[in-house]
Amino acid sequence: MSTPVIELQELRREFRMGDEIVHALDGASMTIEEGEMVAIVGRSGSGKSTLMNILGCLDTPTGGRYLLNGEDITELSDDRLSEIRGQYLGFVFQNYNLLPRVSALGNVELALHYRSRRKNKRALAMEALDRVGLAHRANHRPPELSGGEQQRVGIARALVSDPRLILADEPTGNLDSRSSELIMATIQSLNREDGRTMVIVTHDHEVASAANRIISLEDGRVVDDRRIEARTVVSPVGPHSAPGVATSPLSPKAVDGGAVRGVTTPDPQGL
Amino acid sequence: MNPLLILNTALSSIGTNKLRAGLTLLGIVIGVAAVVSLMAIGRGAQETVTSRITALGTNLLFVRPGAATEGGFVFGQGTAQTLTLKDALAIDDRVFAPDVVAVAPETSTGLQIVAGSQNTFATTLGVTSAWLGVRNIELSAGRPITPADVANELQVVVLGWNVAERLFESENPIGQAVRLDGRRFMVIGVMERRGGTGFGNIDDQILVPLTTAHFRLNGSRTPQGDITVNTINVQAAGTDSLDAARAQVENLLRLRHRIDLNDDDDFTVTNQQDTIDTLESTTDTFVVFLAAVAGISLVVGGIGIMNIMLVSVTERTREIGVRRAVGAKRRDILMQFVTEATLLSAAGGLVGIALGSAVARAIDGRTFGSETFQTVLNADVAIYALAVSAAIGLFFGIYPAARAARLDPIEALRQV
Repeated sequence: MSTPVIELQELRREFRMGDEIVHALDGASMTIEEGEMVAIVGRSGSGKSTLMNILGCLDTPTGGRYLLNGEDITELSDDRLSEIRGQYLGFVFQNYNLLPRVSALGNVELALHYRSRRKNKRALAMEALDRVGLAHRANHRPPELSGGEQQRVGIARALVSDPRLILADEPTGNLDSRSSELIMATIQSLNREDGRTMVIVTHDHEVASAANRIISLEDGRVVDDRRIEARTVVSPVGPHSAPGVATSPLSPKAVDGGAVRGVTTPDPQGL
Repeated sequence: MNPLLILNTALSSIGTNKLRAGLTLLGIVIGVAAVVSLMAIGRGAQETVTSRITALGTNLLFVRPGAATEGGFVFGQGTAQTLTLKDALAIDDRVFAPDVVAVAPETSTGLQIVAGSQNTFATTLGVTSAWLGVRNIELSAGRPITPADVANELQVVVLGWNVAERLFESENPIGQAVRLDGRRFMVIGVMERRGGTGFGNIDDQILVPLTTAHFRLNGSRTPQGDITVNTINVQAAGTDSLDAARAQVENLLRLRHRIDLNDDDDFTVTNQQDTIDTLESTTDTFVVFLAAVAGISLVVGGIGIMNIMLVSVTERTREIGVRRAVGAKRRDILMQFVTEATLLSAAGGLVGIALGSAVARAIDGRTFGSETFQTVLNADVAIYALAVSAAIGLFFGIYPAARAARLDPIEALRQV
């Protein structure tokens, strides 16, 4: 097999809280191969957020080693970490983190902003939006989109830079069950059809069951790691469900725009 | 990251919140507009003064006596009684002073002038027939002082415009009698109106024959018995020969006054250019002062930019987090905010220049047909104003931008 996408060896992360030292990660080890869809589960305080931050190169471990694509990122500079994020990683956030004043297309394009001098950024962004079934909403701004739609824009943004790994942090945490299923169907199809490596942090077992491997964290350690027969998520709508699944007669617009709209988290920031 | 991309990022960020951008600009707009319009006013004042002086003629030299000293006290320039009528005649020499075209000596004394029940105070100049020509002044009525008037010490007077108006109002002054120092003089002419104000304004002066002034009014002599004069007006052939004429006049006078090679002159020769230079350096100070006052408002505008940028950084914490997540380095974030501040400020500068120019044009006296108040717009002021406003944006943008760049991406993304 080729180089694992992720290899963690005895990963440690300590935080100093006053006089106390908190071991958020206390020797976590795992290997994630290309093409896997992994769910990381655990109660709050189990260290899964810290693990996510380190996997996303937003934080660095205080002990152990983290090899991303075989490259040890443990001791890299902030600039190099930024480059790695732009090059190899895509993020999907619980609260979407879209720029409210920028169109869906612009939000997706942002992920290409700090990369290469490619000319066809707009076309790539459009392609990614189309992949999540939102090409028809390209010029809408996030406040005009439902929660599910916003999260699909978020997925398109994670996707557009063609990363080796997509990290999703509670991607359905702000969504109702119907939208959740749609988002999970989208994520699963990215894994099954495009062969993308996905790591999803969640506390929702329904979500975790869509993965083909579940890693359980407790007190900063891996307490369980098993491969499962992934539940095939049945998309309540359209074109991006897994192959062979019957498609609903409803258009994505009708479902997303109607039933789900109320879920949108208001954005008090107003950029 | 290439500069074009940085510019593009900054522009689209500014574009997403136009109202805030506009308000941020306002401080700089007002500051730059103040600088530009005040500079225009200052430059206009300068130009007005300069053009007035130039109107007197730039081919003139003024010879004045040096400072008198008495008992160790040094009095002002022109107070010594060393310049005489004979000096004036000696300068008027085509052989030793070939670049001198005409010479007009004058004496000067302040006198009360009375006509009927009206009276006024006027600087009385004792002049020769050459004086009006040398000073390039026309008469609006009557006749000038002739060589015959001078030779015969006639008690005739040519009035300045304001003097004539004060004494005779709408009456025709020609042929009327006035009293100077108790003596009866006949008005023979009135000089054209020159306008202007201040010391040495010809409209407030009167002319009498030099000999009359000396013998009948307020004459003074050197110990040798020569008639002293206050000023010798010397007309050079042209502006180009001014320096040559000056050298010739100086040489002749040094010879006549028996001044040793190493001794200082007991007279001074000035020309209009000297006066213009002096005045310009004075008005320069004035202009710089105005600009400095206006500059303070620019600094205030800069602080406004810093303030808004700080607010903007706080508001856009999540955006910064997202940008960092998709690969922006600290440097990219820093550049984005600095560029934004600089662009905002420079844009404010441009608007300010437009506004300042419009204001300057609106208040220019010439717009409503007055000569007294002018404004002058110069490209250099605009360029400086633009450069300074951009620099202010850069300076005041650095701190907020550094704060944005220092944000921890994890914290920034966690922001609700």
